[in-house]
Amino acid sequence: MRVGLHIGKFHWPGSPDNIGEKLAEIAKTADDMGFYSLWVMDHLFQLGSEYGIIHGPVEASILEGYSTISYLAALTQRIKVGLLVTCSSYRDPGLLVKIVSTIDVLSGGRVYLGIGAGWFEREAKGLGIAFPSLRERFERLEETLQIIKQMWAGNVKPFEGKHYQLAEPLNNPQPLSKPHPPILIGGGGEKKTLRLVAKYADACNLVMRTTLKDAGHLFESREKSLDILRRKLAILEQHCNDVGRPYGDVEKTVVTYIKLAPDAMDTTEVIKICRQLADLGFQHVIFNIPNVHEIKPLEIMGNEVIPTVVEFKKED
Amino acid sequence: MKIGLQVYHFHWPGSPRNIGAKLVEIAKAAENAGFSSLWVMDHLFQIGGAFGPIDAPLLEAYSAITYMASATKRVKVGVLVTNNICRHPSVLLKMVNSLDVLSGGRAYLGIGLGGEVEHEMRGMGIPRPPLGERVERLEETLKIFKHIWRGDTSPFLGKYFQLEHPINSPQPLSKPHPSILVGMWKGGRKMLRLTAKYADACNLQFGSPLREFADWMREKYEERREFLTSRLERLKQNCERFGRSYDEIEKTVLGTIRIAPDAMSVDDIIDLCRELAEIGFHHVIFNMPNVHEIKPIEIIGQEVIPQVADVT
Repeated sequence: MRVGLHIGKFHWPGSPDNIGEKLAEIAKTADDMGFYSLWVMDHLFQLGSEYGIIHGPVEASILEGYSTISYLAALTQRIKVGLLVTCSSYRDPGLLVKIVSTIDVLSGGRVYLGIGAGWFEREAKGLGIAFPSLRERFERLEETLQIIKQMWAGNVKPFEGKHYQLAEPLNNPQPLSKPHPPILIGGGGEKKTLRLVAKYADACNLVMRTTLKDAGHLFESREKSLDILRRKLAILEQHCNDVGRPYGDVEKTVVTYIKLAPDAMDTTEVIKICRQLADLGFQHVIFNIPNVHEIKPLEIMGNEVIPTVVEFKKED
Repeated sequence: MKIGLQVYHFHWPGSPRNIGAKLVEIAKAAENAGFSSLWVMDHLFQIGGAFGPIDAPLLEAYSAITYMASATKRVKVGVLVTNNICRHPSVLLKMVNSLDVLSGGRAYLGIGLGGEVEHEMRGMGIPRPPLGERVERLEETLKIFKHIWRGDTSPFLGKYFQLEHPINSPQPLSKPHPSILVGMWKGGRKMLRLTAKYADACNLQFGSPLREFADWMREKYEERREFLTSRLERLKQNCERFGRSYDEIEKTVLGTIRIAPDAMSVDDIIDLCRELAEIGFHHVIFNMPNVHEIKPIEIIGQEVIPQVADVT
């Protein structure tokens, strides 16, 4: 099982003056400690106090995602980087492909393209960015996925979509990742999102809520969370069957929230979470660790969790 | 006088595989050589002619400059210049702002109309309105940046963009905010007006004396003295009109050089810097076709920068 790290906030002692330095320290430690992947969100506002210690009030610090991972890619050697997940309507699709291709080239082929339809209306309206209906956002997401696939296939023929028309979708340099950076679609929407995963994606990403008590509305019992995930994967498998896609081709990733502390969780529990997720069929768990800036949690994960769970996989 | 370096192409031996490593090498060499600023262009297709064919490797500007910022400590960084119609102003603001925070307060916001980008915008399906509207949109973007960087979270209601509650956190580390640089090729009336009203810095161009570059680059170089003098004069008039201090605007100028027996000597470059200083520029930004050889960066660091540092 692969273990990733999700950085969900940037306010810690010394922030914002030390954000660059602290992020560098986090990224280098995660790289050294054997984390497989490193992720930040694609948000322009922080998500709100209702997320408890995980994110923070809307006025709290947040950086633009692609700038952040490009900065961190320069400081690391091995770890994959990506956004969990890009809001497809915040950048024109052609520009998005150029950005992701650029970071893939700069990082020596270490990028995921994580993407979703977007949901944070308060942020979009706050900053004057168009926020169409859910239906249109999904239409745009699907066209964006088609454009990404076309450009990464090196096909420069005109793309004539309902929402996007590209006369000459030229992309050079192409990514170093071959055939291209994995395309990850975030979200567990049963009718549309998981359908798009089956049709277009190399990876899915689901959310497992957490038993951490101060995680606001991300709180949920373990049992119920696992039930939800089991159901989502079954639906994904059905969509794969429907569109003729081998279910085994899709990398199953999940993001969840942990805190290593006497009053929260210990490594035994984190290993158990990994075991339970692997048993459901997940190959890649991405941990959001709200006190990540203390660095120590990353070292504990690297020394005590990652070496154990790296062997975990679903028993058939 | 300050000297800056712009990287305008990424096709060199080993590209694209070594682009990341080579950009780190260029960025560190420039910083060690005493360059004040480091820049990339904002294009999605390479621009043709001696710059390189349209399908030559070209990086997205903000990803590239933020990567280079990561490898440096002191040099200022920016995009010369951002095509205003390529990104939503709020997304652009967060990108520049992030570059500033991550680099410890070293960002410029370089911005312009989106002049020679018709082919790439159509190619990528990004609408490019007519000139009049592009000027209006640039002015609106500049107003949005000033509004948000002032810390004003009240609604911004423009003709093209309506921001209900423009929060920006963290604010930049550069105080009061990253220097806003307006770049232009022709230096027309409207652009100089926007510069006087909103900018901390302007960027004009002197083209290039190099034979391999197109006529329009060499003509620009031939007429540089008259052209640049007249544009700074007009900028001064605009400053008077808007009650802005002309002296507080940093005057920067961009052009292409190459040090070689068949091209330019170090003395040619020092003379050029002196001439540009005399016209009124504080900051000369060079780009060089052979920047990836590193040696040209070192030569400028050893033989030009110390000679022109005190020139005003």
